[in-house]
Amino acid sequence: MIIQLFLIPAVILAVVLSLRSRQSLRGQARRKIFAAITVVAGVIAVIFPDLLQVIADFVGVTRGVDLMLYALVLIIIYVIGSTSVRFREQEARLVRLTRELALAEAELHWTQQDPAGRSQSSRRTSRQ
Amino acid sequence: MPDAVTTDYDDVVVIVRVFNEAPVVAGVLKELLAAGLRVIAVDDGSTDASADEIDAAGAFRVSHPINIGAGGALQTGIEAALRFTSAKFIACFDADGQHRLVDLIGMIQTIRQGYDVVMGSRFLDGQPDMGRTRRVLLKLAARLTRRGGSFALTDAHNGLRIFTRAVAGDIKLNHAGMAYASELEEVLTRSRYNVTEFPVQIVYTDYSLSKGQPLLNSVNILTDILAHRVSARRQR
Repeated sequence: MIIQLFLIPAVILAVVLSLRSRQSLRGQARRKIFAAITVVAGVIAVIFPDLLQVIADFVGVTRGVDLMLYALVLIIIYVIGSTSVRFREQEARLVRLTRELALAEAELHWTQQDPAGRSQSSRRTSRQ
Repeated sequence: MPDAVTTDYDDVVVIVRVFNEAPVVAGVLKELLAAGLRVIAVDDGSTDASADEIDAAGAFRVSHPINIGAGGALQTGIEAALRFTSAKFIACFDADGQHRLVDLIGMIQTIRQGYDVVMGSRFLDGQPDMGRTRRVLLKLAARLTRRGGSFALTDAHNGLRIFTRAVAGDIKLNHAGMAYASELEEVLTRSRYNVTEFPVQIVYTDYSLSKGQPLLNSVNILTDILAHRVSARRQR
């Protein structure tokens, strides 16, 4: 069946592409083109319902709906993967921001307490 | 610790990560400070009284406004140590009281002999007092992180470590969560560093056991190690 030859690399491709960094401009453009094709294909499938069955017959899938299901699974895999990458990138930014905030605040205290960096021992002896 | 009080530890700064450890953190910090060690406590957005306890103990506190995870907190501590102190050696010590001061002092004395990195290991002195599953998993993690040419650690994810200032400058942890330990070990055991291990004991108190990582979390850590290796390979 043609569909098997197509689906297995497609699943792998969906995983790999989705896990790529989202920074590159080329990747952004590719995703927009992909989204546009998906929308157009959806509209065509609605206007010509039989077309889906024709394609399904051609690639060796019983029903047109099954073919759509396969496409849906691929899209979901891609979306989950790319969302998790975006989430991780966001988290890394948050970590850097938090660290800078903490260090900036700590720096104020450090210079106030003692510029030589011997605050602990002097403070400790005064406490004891 | 009789000689601990008399020895000078000007060249050392100890980083203690703190996340909701209010019941024990002051005791741990006081013990370190009393030994004459400089301490930077990184409060990783604790929601309990940890920050007050750190201040009460008299340690220098760096506070994250929000919780970002163990690796993120350690990286902050390292950067604070580099930015604010001129310490030659930077040590990591756990806030929950599972590490012993004597072990840290032994490691300081060891690194002063000219090592770049000294890692604590629970497995150098025979079999430690821990469950069999935990032991097997730690050994497995140690083996997984081993690479050609790098120093072969006998323990994994031991929080007690000390390294030189130069090594600290090379540490750029990407993993904000618990999987940072594998990432850190990968950096610390690079073949160009002079690495050694030091036998340490972990005090498994009821408190540290209740706070510590549940065994099931090792699944998370193992998958994180593997995921990290895959992504690291892609970068090269």
